[in-house]
Parts: sequence; C-alpha cells; structure tokens
Amino acid sequence: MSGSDEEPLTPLQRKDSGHPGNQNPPMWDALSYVLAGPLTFGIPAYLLDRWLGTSWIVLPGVLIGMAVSLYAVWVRYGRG
Amino acid sequence: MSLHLLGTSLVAPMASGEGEGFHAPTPEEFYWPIFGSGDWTFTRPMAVFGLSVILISWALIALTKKAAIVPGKGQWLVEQAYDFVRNGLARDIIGSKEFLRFVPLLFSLFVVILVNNLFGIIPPIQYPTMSRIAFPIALTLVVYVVYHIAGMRKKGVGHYLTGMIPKGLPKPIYVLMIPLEYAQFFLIRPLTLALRLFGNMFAGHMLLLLFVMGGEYMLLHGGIGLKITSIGSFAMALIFTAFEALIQFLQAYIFTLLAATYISDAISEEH
Repeated sequence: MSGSDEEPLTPLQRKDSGHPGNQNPPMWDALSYVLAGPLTFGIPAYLLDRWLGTSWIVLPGVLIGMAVSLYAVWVRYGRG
Repeated sequence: MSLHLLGTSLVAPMASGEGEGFHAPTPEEFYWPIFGSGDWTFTRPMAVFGLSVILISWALIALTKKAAIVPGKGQWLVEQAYDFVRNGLARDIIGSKEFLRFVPLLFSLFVVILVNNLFGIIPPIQYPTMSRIAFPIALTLVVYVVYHIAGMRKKGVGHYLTGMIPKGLPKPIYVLMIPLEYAQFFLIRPLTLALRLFGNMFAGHMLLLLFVMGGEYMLLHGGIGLKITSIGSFAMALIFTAFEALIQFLQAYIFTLLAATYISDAISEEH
C-alpha cells in the first residue's frame, strides 16, 4: 500500500471509478410505498373523524392514500 | 415485563377452554429471563447477541490474521462474504464513487444479522435474536441516522429535503405526493425495515415451535393414531428448518440491501 506520497489508486479502484449507483430502489422497497399511502392519509382522516364526531372521512382518506401509493409506485418503478 | 403479561393473558382463555389439551406456542415462549428482574432483566436474546458479537469478532480476526495470497478455507469464506457485501451490494447500489466509507457499516450489519438469524436453527442456541423487536429497532435506528446525516452533509438540509420529491409531475399531484414522500422517508421506511426483519424471524420461529411442540404432544400424550401422525409433524419441523435457513439468509440480505438503497437514495444527485 505504501511507498508513494500521494497514495496511488489500486488497480481495483481504477477499474471502479465511473461505476454509477443504482438509481431505482429495489422491488423490496415497494412494500413501504404501498403502506405509506393508506397510513399517511388514513390516520389524519381517522383523527379528523374523531375530532368532528363523524365516521365517513376515514374511508375516502384510506382510498385516496391507496391511489396515491399506486401512483407513487408507478412514478418510482414504472417510468423506467 | 409487559410483554410477559401480554403473553399470559393471551394464553389464559385458550388454556381454560381446552382444559388439559395441547397448548399452542404463544409470544410468551420468547421471553427467557436469565437473571435480574423488571426492566433490568438479563434475557436469553441478550446472551445470544453477546455470544454472536464475540464469535464474529473472533472468527473475523482469526481467519484473516494470516492473510495469504492463496487463501485457506476460512479466509476464503470471509473474503466471499466481504466481497458479496462490498461489490455485490454496496458498489452496485451506492456507486463506486462513495461506497467505500459505507462498506464497514453494511458488512457489519449483514454479518451480525446473518449470524443472529442462523442462531435460530443452530441446535444448542436455537433462538433468533431478531424475533425480539428491540434488536431490529436498534439496527434500524443506526441505518436511519446514517442515511439522513449522509444525505444532509452531502447536499445541505434544504436541498436534501427538496430532493426527496420526484420532479416533473403534474402540479396538482404534488399536494398528495409531498406528504406521502416525507412520510415514506421519515416514518414508513424505518418502520418496514424493522418490522420486516422482526416479523420474518418471529413467525418462522413460531412455526418451528408449533411443529415441534405439536409433534411432541402427539407422541407423548396421544393414542396410537396420533403417535403415528406425529412423524408428519416432526418431518414438517425438519422441512421448515431448511426453509428457515433460506429465509434467514434472505432477510439478512434484504436488510443490508435496503440499508444500502436508503443511503444511495439519500446521497444520489437526482431522482
């Protein structure tokens, strides 16, 4: 490793330079997107229901959340 | 302590309903105090985790101390594992520019999770540490802090926060997408990262417990018919032990893969 002042690159490092990172998250992460929507919009909707004493807001909240989740999955994974 | 109580309350109605019958395994089976009491109890998973750390440190030092150009069996094994994480995971996902400083973290995560998972089926130990939720949470916290700090240091806090939102979408959609993306980055990702590992290890161990305890009950307490069918239960336990080995490896891989992905997401320039 030593022997020079400015630490030359090893052959492996030289070969490495320019290897780009993977921009798309792997499929395993799609699960967290699918959960994110219903939770992000469902929980505030449920709390709104509790606050106003109604019971109809939570359903559209969860449904909108699901729709946004699917859209986000498409944005991340489906556009290529 | 509270989990212990939860376990007893879960098993109580079942036991009273079935009388002297078979008791299905409950979450209580996972609570193994060794000494101490209350919040300061020293439990079996702590001992197993400690053992894993000692074992890994010893193995890594001993097997690489006399590193040779033509590796022996042990060195070859360590090099394979290291190569797998360094090149297969870190470099491919984070990219060759910045991956090196994250390799120690990712390699440690992978090895610690793998060994602790495999302890679930290695006979004298047989306890998957990650089936206690605190262990995955602790590991996830480390990853959580690392990827946020890495992203903020690279881009600055403001740019880091705006960089999370995908660009080029129709304007009205951002009303819905912005809360979703922030929930995703700050809450859902760590949540699923910890729960996925915990759930897989917990459920797998539960399944093995069920087959073994069921087989034992049928063999010792059943009539001749049940004694014969207990063979099936033990066979299933064996099959699922092999299946578990696969899942345990896979979960260690996925946890490391996602940790690398989150780091890569945080420090990559565009989305």
